[in-house]
Amino acid sequence: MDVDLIFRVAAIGILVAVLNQLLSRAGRDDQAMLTTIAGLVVVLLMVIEQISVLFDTVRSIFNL
Amino acid sequence: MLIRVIASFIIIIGCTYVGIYFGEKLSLRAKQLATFQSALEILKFNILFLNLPLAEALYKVSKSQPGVVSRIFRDMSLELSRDNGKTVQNAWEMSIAKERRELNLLQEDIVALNEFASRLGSGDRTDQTGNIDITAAKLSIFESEAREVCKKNCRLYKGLGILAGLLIVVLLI
Repeated sequence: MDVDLIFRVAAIGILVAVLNQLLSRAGRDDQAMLTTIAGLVVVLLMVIEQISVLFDTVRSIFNL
Repeated sequence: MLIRVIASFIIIIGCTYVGIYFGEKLSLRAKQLATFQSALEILKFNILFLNLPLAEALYKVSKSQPGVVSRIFRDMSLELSRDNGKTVQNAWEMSIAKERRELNLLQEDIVALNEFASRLGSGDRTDQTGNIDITAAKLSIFESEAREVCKKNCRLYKGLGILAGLLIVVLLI
C-alpha cells in the first residue's frame, strides 16, 4: 500500500481548507468555492488509479 | 533527497515573495497618496506664506518628500526653471509620464492630479489654495479607499502566496 498517497491527499486537504477560510474571510466566497472544487478534482485525479484497482479487485473476487 | 528539499524551499520562498510583492503594491498606493497630500500641504505653505515663485516652491517640496514624489516635483521644478516655454501642465505631465512605472496609482488618482496641475500657477493665491485644498480632499478620499482595499486584500495576497507555494510543492513531491 502506498502510504505516500494518503499523506499527500491529507496535505492537499489541509491547504485547501486554509485557502478556503482565507478567501471566504476576504469576502471572496465564489473563489473559495472554486478552490475547493479544484482541490477536489486534483485529489480525485490522484486517487482515480487506486479506485480502478479497487474495482478490478472486487470484480475478480466475485468473478463478474 | 537533498535537492528535492532545496527545490521545495526555493518554490515556497518564490511564491511567498510574489504574494508579498502584490500585497505591497496594494499598500503602496495608499502610501503614495498620503505623500502627495503632505507635499500639497507644503506647497500651499510655500505659496501662501513664503510667497515663493512656483518653480522654487516645487523644488522646496521635492526636498521635503521621499522617493518618487520628490522626483516628480524636482523634475517639474527643473523643467519650469529651464524657461523653454513649457506650461505648468506640460511640465507636470512630462514628469508624471517619466515616473509612471514607479507610481502605484490608479487612473482616477492620475486624473485628479492632472486636474490639479492644469489649474496650478494660474490665478491668485486664493485660487491656488482653493485648488490645493480641493485636490488634497480628493486625494484623502482616494487614500481612505485605498486603505480599505488594502486592509481587505493585503493579508489575503500574502497568505495566498505562501499557500500556493505549499500546494505546488505537495503536488510535485
